[in-house]
Amino acid sequence: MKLRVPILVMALAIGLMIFAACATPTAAPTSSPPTAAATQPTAAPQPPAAAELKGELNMLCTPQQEWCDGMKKEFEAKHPGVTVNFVRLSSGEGLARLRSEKENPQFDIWWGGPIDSFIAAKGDGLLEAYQSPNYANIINPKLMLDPDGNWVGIYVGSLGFGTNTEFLKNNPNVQAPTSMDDLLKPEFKGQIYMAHPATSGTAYTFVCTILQQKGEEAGWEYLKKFAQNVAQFTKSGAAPVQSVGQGEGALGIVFSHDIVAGIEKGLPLELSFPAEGTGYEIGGMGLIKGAKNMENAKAWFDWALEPSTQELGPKYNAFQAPTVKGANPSRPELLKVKLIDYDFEYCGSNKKAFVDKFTNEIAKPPQ
Amino acid sequence: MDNECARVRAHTLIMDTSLSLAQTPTSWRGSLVRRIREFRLLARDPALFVGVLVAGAFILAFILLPLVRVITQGFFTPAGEFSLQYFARYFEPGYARVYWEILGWTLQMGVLTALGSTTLGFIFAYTVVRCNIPFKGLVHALALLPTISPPFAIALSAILLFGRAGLVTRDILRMRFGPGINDIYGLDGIIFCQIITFFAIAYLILRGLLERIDPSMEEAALSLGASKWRIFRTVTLPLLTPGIAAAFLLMFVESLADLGNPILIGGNITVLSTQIWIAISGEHDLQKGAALSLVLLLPTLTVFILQRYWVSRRSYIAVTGKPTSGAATFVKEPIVRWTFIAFTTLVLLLIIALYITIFVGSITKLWGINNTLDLTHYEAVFKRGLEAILSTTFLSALATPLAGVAGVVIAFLVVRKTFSGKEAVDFMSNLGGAVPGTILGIGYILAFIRAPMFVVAIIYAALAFFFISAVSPKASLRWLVFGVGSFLGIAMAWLSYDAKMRDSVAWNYLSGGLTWLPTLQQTQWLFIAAGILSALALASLVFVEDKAKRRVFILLCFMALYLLSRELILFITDPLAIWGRRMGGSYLPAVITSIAAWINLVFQPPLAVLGFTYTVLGGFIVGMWGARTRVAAAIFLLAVCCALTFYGEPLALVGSAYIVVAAYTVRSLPATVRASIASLQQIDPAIEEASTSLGGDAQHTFRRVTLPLILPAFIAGLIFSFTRHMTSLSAIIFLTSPKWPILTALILSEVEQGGLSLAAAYSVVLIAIVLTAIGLLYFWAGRTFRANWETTLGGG
Amino acid sequence: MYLTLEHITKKFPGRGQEGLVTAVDDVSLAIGKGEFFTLLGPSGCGKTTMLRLIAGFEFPTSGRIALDERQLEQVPPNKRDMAMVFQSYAIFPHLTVFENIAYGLRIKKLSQDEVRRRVAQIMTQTKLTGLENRMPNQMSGGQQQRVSLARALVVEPKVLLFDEPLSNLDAKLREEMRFEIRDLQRRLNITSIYVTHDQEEALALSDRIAIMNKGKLAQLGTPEEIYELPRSKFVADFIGLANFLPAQAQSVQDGWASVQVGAHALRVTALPHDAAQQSALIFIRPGDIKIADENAVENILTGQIVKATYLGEKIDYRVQVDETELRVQTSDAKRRAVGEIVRLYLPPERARLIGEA
Repeated sequence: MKLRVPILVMALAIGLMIFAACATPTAAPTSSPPTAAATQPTAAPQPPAAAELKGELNMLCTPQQEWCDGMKKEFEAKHPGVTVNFVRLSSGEGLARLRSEKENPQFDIWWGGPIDSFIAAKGDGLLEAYQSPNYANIINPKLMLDPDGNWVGIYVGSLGFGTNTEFLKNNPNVQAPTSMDDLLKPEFKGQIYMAHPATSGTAYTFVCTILQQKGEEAGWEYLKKFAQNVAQFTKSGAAPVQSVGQGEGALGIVFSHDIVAGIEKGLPLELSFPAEGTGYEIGGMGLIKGAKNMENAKAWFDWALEPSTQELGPKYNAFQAPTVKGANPSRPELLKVKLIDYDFEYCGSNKKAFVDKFTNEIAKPPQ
Repeated sequence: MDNECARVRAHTLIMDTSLSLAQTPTSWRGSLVRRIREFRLLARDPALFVGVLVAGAFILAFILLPLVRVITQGFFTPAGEFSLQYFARYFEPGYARVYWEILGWTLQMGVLTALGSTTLGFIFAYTVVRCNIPFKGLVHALALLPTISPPFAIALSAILLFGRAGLVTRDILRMRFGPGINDIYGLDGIIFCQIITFFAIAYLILRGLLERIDPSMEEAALSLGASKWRIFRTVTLPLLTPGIAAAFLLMFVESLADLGNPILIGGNITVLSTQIWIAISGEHDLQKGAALSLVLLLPTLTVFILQRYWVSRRSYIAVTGKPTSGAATFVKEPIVRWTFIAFTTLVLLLIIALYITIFVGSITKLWGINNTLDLTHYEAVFKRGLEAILSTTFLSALATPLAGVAGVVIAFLVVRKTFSGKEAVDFMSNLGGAVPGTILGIGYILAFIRAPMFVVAIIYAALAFFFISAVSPKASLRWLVFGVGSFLGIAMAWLSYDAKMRDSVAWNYLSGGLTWLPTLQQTQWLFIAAGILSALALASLVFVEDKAKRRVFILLCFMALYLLSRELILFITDPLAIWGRRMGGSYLPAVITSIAAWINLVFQPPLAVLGFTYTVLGGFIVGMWGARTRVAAAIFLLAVCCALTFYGEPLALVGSAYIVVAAYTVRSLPATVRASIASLQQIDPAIEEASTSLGGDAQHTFRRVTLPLILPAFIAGLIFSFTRHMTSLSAIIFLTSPKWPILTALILSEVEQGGLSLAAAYSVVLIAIVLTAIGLLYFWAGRTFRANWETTLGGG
Repeated sequence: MYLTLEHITKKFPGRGQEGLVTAVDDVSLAIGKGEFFTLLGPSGCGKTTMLRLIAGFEFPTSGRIALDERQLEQVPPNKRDMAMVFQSYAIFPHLTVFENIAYGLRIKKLSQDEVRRRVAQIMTQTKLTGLENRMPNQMSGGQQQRVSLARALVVEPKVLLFDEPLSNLDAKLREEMRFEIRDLQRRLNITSIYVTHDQEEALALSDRIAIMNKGKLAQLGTPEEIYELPRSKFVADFIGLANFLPAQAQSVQDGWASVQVGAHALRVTALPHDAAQQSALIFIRPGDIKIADENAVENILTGQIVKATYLGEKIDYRVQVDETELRVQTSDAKRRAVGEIVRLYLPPERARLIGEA
């Protein structure tokens, strides 16, 4: 009969439905729209051991691509059931993106980027509080841990100057800068590369360091003069390493660990610090409120605070200092320089105002 | 190389005349009656009716809605208050200088780029057509190279060659860039890169025109005693003027819309497109971005309308026709000829140098510092970028047939059919690709971050109208099905809403009594929906007449099964992904998890889209259903379709791959529409009427007659679409999501992160993918359709 | 009747401010089964629109169409059971001759054997045998038109529609095809509607002819009726050659009218509906006028030859009679010179009073 095929199809369909119906409670697909995620899996018989994690983890990653990618692979190797997807966005972009997606967050966790952005994010109610068992590992909880558990520090880095050695060789009377005021010297006119504080936490750290060191009024005056010497405000904080290393400029203001990474790659750079003290960043991490893969995000969160994880950095050309006990810094000398008493609260709460002022008054394109 | 592609582009770029001319205003009232009548007649041909509905729905959701959202958003703060603050900045002392400066630079860039690239395009066209340059094919191919490479490739190699540490500037010319010395960064750099990037389009337009100028016109002038120069001035140039104007305007718009070059090589020059980009991705100020977008949209729209309704009407030469027979006259004066050839050759050498630089840069350890051969950049590309490469290629490929089919359908409707809103469909389908990509991207974020309920409801209503028109000729029965079915559907959709969604006022109003319904899990909910469809399938065995029984039953089973498959497929893809990740190695896990994600993507379309599709299919099913139980079956079927449509947050697509696919499709739609229109206009309508009069319905005629005849243009459209998808940056830069990284956006970020060489390596890979795809499509098309290919233009 | 059209009106949107343009204006027709019916008229008279309305490519603004008792206004063209032969042949350029002809049969989902049998049969009838695997662009115009005809005939439509099918062929082929079409139509007894602007074609082919002018039906009748008894100046002028002579009608009686043309009094035929009018036209075909000898007196006009053209079988004279130039064709062997004064005899039974419209 002609109907034999359709009936077979039907039987197959019904069979599949029954099979699926029986199997679904344990299947717990997590990649589907909102309602599915919340009411999942505790029905599974065993306690959710680490190896049992499944589904996806969507990460907003602010450090360099290479490190983000390395960490993704490391985590996936540990939890084969989880696919880690990440987008690398600079901290300004990341914060802005999280704000815009507040209603319907696409990310589960934010890993890396200066904590003033995390302070701002907390202020906007974008982060989920979490008490990780690994908070005990933190070296300096007063500085590196949000009292409410909204964010935690995962690395520390100091701000430094990277000067192109070829440039120094060709201009024998020029020395690598050793103070903030050296940056205003005429020989660096049109030669300095720094990121734009609107998009980059690195650049904002520099701006806020100046404002703290010199006071706001003198600080803004300084920045106005400083901007005269800048060749280009890049988007990403570490970008000046490339530009200066390639010889497009003479001097980059970057986190020292990024300069070290550049030197490791073979770029002709010389690292120096301002003698009067330099600013520093604490790289943060936080869970996104309303994350669709919260279990996986928490697993990452705990994992990132383990000493062995924090020692993975150099493997991916990341030389930031760790924030947990028991992890050895790869470049201890980067934190042995004079650091200012950086006020993260001050910088975090004034970020919008300072960036706005910078955008509209300082970073006016040179004529 | 890609002659067809080129030709399509040329066709698509000159707005063609005959269409807009055919449109004539008629008296309003008289035409309204006629239009309603026509609409009813349209309903008599279901395939056509569905075509109009689907095209309309697509345009409404993915072109009109985002643009309207961008335009309105500029006037409202995030809190929803009316505010002109960003427009006011053009007149506020603190901001005005910067804002006007940026606007000034933008216009300067647009005009100079347009001038430069039109001139260069003309020189190339003249050299190729009139100067008998040797290796014409090679010249043509090389000129087109910039059109298939990522939008910042030229800027990238310009930095490598002419930057402060560039090969030419530092190592050959020994230049030192102290203070005040002009370097490649800045307005001049942007304009240089844009001219090289865009002139190919001007070249194609002008070449097409030059080839179509009948030599006898020039011969006539010659026989009247005019000198060559006089002929050029008084005959050739005036004939080309519309084309030159069209090219100029188009270059102007392309320049304004360009994002990649200004970002990379702008230095401290900000233009509108980068200002918007920083406003969105740096400050994430959607209002500012939208307000500036409107500022950018105004010149763009003006040019678009100017182009469409003014320039094209002044065209003396039909662009869509075949080249006139007979060889073009060649320039005989050696001085003129060799000047043109020499200039063209120099520019070509520059282009070659730029591309070789990209390649060499990608295999150099550290450009300018350590020039040893080094393949680690490619290793890094495949290690870190493999997922982006795979997902970009996949999404581009997925959007390619969509753009192709949508283009053909729209072109067919526009050329062959009369219906209300035809001009609007034609206009809008072009608009999506004509506006700067950033604007479209912002519009997509604004439109699809939450469910655009209003639009979903409109589309549902239109499709449901089709559905119920199959129920019964009696209006009362139709509206009964519509009312009851939609109500049941909304009740069912209500089961999927969480508390937040249920709180929204509109829904309370619509479904006041439903608050007691529980919120179901997606899996349970889908089983209910699939269950109803299966029950209908079983019922169809009894209630559908024998002739259609088999078809209805299989269709319903398929619908149920496909609905469930979005859950069932996870039983395959989840283990596949886990297995892949366990494989270890650098590449395999990424490949296998990507494949798993692709499979998921195919089986998990947005439920609203599924709802739309099922409503259309439902219309056909109801039409075949036995008369006795038809109303009941229609109610249940419509309920399921309606429920699917409104499930969860319909069309809240931000973060999904579908939004990227939609953006790609919209961006390349004008090309496919124009290509299909051009080729449809060459087909005698009588050929289609012959098929109809022999008993073929619209769908049969289209499939068996029209499609085979426009296939070459169709394939060329596909090639162009795929290329455009792969290389587009501005439209998707705001739409990338963790799960679906996009190559162009990644390259941009790698320029700053991993250095120029890595970005160069990525660019080489991208160009290679595009070239491979073009080759494959040609091979496939050539093998499958060779027979048609040759006869297409000759017959009829 | 088999195919009836009642009060068909079709309006199109006009250009610019014109509003609606009426292409077909209140036309009613009834066509019998097996009839060969021709719509004839100058270009723009609405005949092609009529055909397309019948085919279903256009829908009437008002009026009714019925075929074999079935109302057609709401039926799309592919369900009308008609087949059309196009002026441009409209052969599918991507299909072989065989597939072109089999196209309609495949839509009807006939078995492969049946398709092959019927295609072979029609190919024999249309003298196409042997060309099955040719592509259309490898064939001559005449062959292409045969394919087009075969493709329409093979589906055995209830009505066969021809849209100026022969106008793209050269004169000799046209005549040949004309006979073939007529022959096939007779043999297969298919109701046919044929649109042409070529009156010779219409006269040779048709059972009945409808002459259209400016969207209206000017006259309907057999070829003989149309030719011999045109109702209006337009029809008379359009079919064959015609002379019109302004005259003063004196009286109309018993099918005869007495008229005054200048100084001459003439007696001409008058149809019953022709009323006596102050000013009227006399219609007579050039071949019907005789050059009379000196002694004939009745129904004679005098004029001067202003031009003489040798046409082979006959000679064409232009004769100036008062204000009017008459055309006279005669096979009279005797040649007359330009400038010569001649006496023209208008046979009363061939000269006729005719209305302006």
